[in-house]
Amino acid sequence: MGALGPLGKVAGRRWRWAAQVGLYTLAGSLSSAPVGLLLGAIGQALGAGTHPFWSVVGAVWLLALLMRSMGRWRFPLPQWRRQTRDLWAKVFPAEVAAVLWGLDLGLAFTTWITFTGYWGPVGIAFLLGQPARGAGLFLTYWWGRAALVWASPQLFPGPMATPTVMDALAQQRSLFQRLHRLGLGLMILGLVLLETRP
Amino acid sequence: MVRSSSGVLEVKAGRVRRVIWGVPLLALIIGSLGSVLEPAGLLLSAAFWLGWTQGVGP
Repeated sequence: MGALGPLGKVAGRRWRWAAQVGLYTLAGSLSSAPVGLLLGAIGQALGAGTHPFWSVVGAVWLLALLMRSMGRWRFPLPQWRRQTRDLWAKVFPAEVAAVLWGLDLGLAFTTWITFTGYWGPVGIAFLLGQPARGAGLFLTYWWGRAALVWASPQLFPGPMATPTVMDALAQQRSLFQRLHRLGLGLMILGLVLLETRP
Repeated sequence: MVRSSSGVLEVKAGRVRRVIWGVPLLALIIGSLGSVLEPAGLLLSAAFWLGWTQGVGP
């Protein structure tokens, strides 16, 4: 966001910005989909998704994540304490750096996970036991993440505003947290609808 | 956006909040409509929504 966003506000460079963000999104799609596919395949191999019971387990899992995000329940979740490399922008051409960031962030688990909600699609991809749906969940999760970069021209007042925009977003952290809890609630509703539809 | 007394361009908090809310709500509408064709439409919207919030970074 901080590295790719500003170019969108440089007059005459918008197409280059769109190409970079497009490459970033495409690369992330290529790395995120196989993660969901693999989780779905593992779930399928272990017999998940063959009975409505698995959807109940999924709803309980999402509820547990919701309670954890509200500080009501405490349980550990794996966390890789690293961020993607800013350095790539200095070492490689901008387009190559965009692809590397996309590949890295698309995997999601190789970088810092801000909110517990990431573990929602992980659990549901596994519990549905459907590789295609798992890939779909991870693709849409990634597109949501990449959408913030696509929306960055709406946030950046100018190409030099990265610190200001990042501060403005950081100040809205509690709003992101609330939205994230709503997202978990929506996922529970989506799971119920999926299970109850004829 | 506004220019502060120091001449630095500032980002309006209201605009940021509108973007933060607007994009996932749009995804929810699309997902809800899409659920007519794909039963997992709402589930996919929720995944998009969760990814969106992750974009704020650590």
